[in-house]
Amino acid sequence: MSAILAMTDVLPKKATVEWAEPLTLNVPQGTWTLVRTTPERSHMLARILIGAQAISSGEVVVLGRPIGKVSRIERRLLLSDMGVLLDPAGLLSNLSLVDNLVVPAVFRGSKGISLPRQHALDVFEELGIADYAKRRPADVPEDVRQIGALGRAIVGNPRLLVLENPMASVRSRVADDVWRICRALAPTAIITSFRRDEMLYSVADDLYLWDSAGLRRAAVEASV
Amino acid sequence: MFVVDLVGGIGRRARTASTAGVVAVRLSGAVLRAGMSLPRAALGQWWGAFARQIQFTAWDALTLVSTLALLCGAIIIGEANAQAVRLGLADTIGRIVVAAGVREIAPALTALIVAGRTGTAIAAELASARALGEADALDALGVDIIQYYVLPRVLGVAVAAMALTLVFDFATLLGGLLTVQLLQQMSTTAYLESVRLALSVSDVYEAIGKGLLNGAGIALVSCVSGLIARRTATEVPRAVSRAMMWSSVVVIGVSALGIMLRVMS
Repeated sequence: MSAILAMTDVLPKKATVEWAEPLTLNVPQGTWTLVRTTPERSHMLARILIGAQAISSGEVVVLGRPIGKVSRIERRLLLSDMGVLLDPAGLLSNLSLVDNLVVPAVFRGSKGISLPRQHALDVFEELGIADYAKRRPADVPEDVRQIGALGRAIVGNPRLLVLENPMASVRSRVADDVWRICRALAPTAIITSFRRDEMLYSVADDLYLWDSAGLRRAAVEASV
Repeated sequence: MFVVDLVGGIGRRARTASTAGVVAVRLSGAVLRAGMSLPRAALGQWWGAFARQIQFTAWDALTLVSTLALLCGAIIIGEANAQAVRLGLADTIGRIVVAAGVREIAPALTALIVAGRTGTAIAAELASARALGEADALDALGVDIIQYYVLPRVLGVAVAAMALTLVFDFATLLGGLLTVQLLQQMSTTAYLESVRLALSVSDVYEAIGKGLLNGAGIALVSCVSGLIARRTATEVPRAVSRAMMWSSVVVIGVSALGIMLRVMS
C-alpha cells in the first residue's frame, strides 16, 4: 500500500524538549493510524501535518505534496482534500451546527450553497444529531458539539482525515456508530491523542506509542 | 496562519515604521488577491457579512455621528463667528467651516468614532475567534482566513466610513447654519454663499478618499490586531487596546497625507 502521508526525519521549528529526536512515520492508504503521545507532541504533530506549524528539518509529504513547502494557495487546495479536526474543535459560535459544515465548504469553493447544505443535513442524520442541526454550538451538549465537529471534518469525503483528540466526551455506544460512518466516508486517517482511550484503540488499524524512548509500533489488541 | 506569520514578528523583532509599512503593503496586497479569488459559491455568505458590517458601522452609528457633527458645526461657527465679526472678516466664515470642519475634523472625528465602535468590535471578535480556536479550525479546513474574516470587514468598514464622513460633512454645515440663525449676526444667505464659495468638488473627493482610507485602514489594523492575538482570553482586551492605538495612528496618518497632498498640489 502506498503512503498517503509520509513524515521523514521531521523536527519542529519551534524547539522543544519533548520533540528532540527526528520523527519518521508513514500512513498507508486505507488505514487508520493512531499515535498516542503527550499533549504537547500531539498538538504539534497535528499542526505540522496540516502545514500550520513549520519544521526545521525533514519533510512532510501529504497526498503527494510537501505540505510545509507549498504556496498558501496550494496548501489550501491540499487541505480541501483533507478533513481536519483540531483540539479545540473551533466550531464557529455565531453559526448553527449545519452552517458550520456549509460555510467552510462554500468558502473552499463547493459548487452552489444548496448542495452542501443538503449533504450536511444528510451527514448529521447519519451521525444521529440532525435534531440539533439548526442550533448554535453553545446551545448543544458537549458530545453533540464534538460529533458536529467530526461531521465538519468528514462532510467533504476527505482523502485523509487528521484528528487531534477526537470524541473525548462521546459515549462509547454512540461512538461506535459514529466511527463506522467516519470510516465509510474517510478511508485513511491519522489520529493524534494523549488519551488512553480504548475506543480509539479499537478504531485504529495501526497504533504507535510515542514517548521519550521514541516512536514505536504497538499491537492494537494488546493495548485494548 | 499567513497573517500571524506576516505580522507576528513585528512586535518581537523590529518595531520600525518601515517594517510596519511593508506589512501594511503586503497585507493590502493579500486582501486584494483574496477578493479576486473569492469562490462564486461563497458570494452569498460574503455579501451577508459585508452588509452586516455596513449596517453596524454606518447605520447603527448614524444618530451618534449626526448629533456630534451638528454640535461640531455649531461649535466651529459659534467660535469663528465671534472672532470673524470682531475682525470684520465675516465673509470668511464659510472658508473656516469648510477648511476646519469639512476637510479635517469631519474625516478625523468620524474615523475615531469608527475606530472606537467598529475597530474595537472587530479586534475583540477576531481575538475571541483565535482564543476559541475558530480561526485555526477554518485555516485547517482550507478556508482563506483573509477571505472569510478580513475582506468583508475591510470593504464594509471602508464604504461605511466614507458614507459616515459625507454625513458628518453635511451635518457640520447644517449645524453651522442653525448656529448662524441662532446668533443672528450673519444672514443665512450670506452663510450659504460663503460656504458655496469655499466648497469645491475636490473637497468632496477628499472627504470620500479620506473616508475610504480611514475605514479600510482601521478595519485592516483591527483585523490584524485580533488575528495575531495568542490563544488566551486575556489577549482579547489587549487586542482591543492595540487596535485602538493602531487605528489612531491610521487616522493621524491619513490626515497628514491629505495635508501633504494638498500642499504638493
